[in-house]
Amino acid sequence: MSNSDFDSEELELSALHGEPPQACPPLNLLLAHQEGVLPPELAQRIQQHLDRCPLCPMLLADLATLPEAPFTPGQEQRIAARLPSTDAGTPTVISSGPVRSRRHLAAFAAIAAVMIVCITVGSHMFLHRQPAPVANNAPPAVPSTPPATVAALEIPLAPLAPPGNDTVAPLTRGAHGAEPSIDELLPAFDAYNTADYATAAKRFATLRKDYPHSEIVLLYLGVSQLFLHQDADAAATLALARHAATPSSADAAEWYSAIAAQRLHSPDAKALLDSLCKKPGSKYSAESCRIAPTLP
Amino acid sequence: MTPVAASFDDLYKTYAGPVYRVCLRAVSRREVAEELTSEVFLALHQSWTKLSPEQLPAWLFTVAKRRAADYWRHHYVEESWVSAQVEEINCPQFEYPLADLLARCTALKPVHRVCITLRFSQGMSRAEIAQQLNLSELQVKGHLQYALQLLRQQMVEKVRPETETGGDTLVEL
Repeated sequence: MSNSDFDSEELELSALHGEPPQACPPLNLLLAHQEGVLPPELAQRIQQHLDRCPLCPMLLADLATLPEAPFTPGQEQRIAARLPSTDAGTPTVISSGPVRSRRHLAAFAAIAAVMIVCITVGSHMFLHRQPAPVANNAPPAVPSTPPATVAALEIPLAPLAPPGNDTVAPLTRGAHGAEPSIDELLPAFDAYNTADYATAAKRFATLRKDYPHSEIVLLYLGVSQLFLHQDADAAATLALARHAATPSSADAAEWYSAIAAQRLHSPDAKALLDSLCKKPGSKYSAESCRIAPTLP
Repeated sequence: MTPVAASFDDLYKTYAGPVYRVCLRAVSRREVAEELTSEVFLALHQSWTKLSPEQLPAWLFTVAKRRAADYWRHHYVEESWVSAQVEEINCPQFEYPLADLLARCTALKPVHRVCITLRFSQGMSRAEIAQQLNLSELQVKGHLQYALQLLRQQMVEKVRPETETGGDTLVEL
């Protein structure tokens, strides 16, 4: 961070704090050390620092007093979407789970039934006279008053699987053809596959300079940017990816574009999902049909 | 056989949030924490028949910590701080250390100290602080401005007697 990042008042303390910058470990290492998850050698170094630095223990103690970030329904949905499911994107449905599948499906069926009743009938009195059937032990899903509108569902963000080697014709690869060679792509996918999206985005962005129309580079750069919450950049990159996409990757480009559009509150999200919904062969079709009607 | 009395659903709904928070504290990256949390529940699903009720929920947090440790083992060599600090770990001695200043300014609340420390010691931008603390950038800016105001008062009170005797020049601050 340069001094230009500070406003005039902050410059005062910045000047006081002095140069060189205090050699404290980054916050992520301090927190990881606190959780006891660092490799021993690194943990030892952090502890040595903590034993001598008055600032870092104060920071950790103060942080512990602050409220933690809430666990949002969107996060719950994204986590559930990574679990093996019978219905992609539906939270926490695991196909072979003991006890759980029947109960879960019953509960969701009950919730769906109740929502339909609420929306179509729209009468509080009617709901009281004829409550929708709810499965045994199902969570209390019946709202006390009918909702005015259905809440928009969040489009779940799950990693896009890396492409197969045969995705692009070999003749177009490398040496600044249409697509990078496998060797050129590997470092970026090494980072991507370990969920190191910051590094992956950097490497894909570098590749993009030599391969500005590469469908692979644009698509995975866009997905990486989504994971980094660089939504505007992701939307721009994925728009280019849609133009560059071959039929095999067009659906993915549309799906991830829809995620970016939804995060930016753009009506394009609904249009993109509607388009995917009308492609029965697409793996995103069912999920798009489920979410699109809930979007404004 | 289902040795765990609660259903998987119940456990997920009850513990997904706490497990996620442990993962987030351990790795400091939301997308990685989400991934680790899903791995924890995937492991629960796979170990369902081998677990007894008394092992839960501790088992979940143990697995979360192990997965986070795996993450750090993998990223260990990439951490620039580690390579920069291989030879020497030190805490530079400043003429007017920030820690001392923060400790003496009793009017500061923890959130103020955290904002100041993240801004000036960790070098974070306001946006990064806002994301870290789950605040808006405007809130962070407000906390920083208020904290700076208090610190300025603190410095003036501290330095004035020294300058009167021809000492430090920090009164300009």
